[in-house]
Amino acid sequence: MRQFETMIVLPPNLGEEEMEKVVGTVETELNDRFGCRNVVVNRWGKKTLAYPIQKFSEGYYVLYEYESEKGDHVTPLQSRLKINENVMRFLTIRRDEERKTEASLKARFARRKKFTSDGTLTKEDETSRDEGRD
Amino acid sequence: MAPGRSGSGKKKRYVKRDYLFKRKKYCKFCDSGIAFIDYKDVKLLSGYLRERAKIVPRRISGTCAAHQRQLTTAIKRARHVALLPFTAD
Repeated sequence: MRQFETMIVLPPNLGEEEMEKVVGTVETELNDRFGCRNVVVNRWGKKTLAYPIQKFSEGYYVLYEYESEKGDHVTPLQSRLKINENVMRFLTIRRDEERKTEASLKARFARRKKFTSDGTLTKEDETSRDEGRD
Repeated sequence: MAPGRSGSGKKKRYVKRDYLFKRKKYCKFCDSGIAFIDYKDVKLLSGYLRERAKIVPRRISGTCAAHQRQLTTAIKRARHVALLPFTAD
């Protein structure tokens, strides 16, 4: 099972209805058309863009977190998003690949004294570090 | 003095300047135990951009290779969805 994350940015001038339609269609497509599991929709709402897109300075951010058996939904999903005029930007990433590097880094941390075996900071060190530096 | 020679003929020696205080650089991610750099964490990422929104090189920030790799992909992803700027004017 692979874990994915898809973020889409919608223009700010869409009406409530249209917005829901776009967010909803992507969700149902993930669920029904592509057979993804555990789809979680995360609405960030309107945020200021770091640079203007299509002359808009704001965007409506939506984040989907889900799982899929294979990654074969990504290409069709992206081409569908590309056609959709109400989607300004989209980004799909694979989260499980990154959990691997995360785990190997944690293992590296665990070898050091100041970290516990699961790769998190030990309590005492947290305080001593604050005093020691600067 | 023989023609074609200037000065004393001795090679000038450049001595590496000894700094009185030189702070040791360290990877802040290793230090604080961050194993995964998320592209959605704008607050963290923006600290690794220069004024012109360029990515701060490793030799300046002291970030370790593994974390710098994560950091650059995270920043580039964030740029794509307009969470971070490509350039600042």
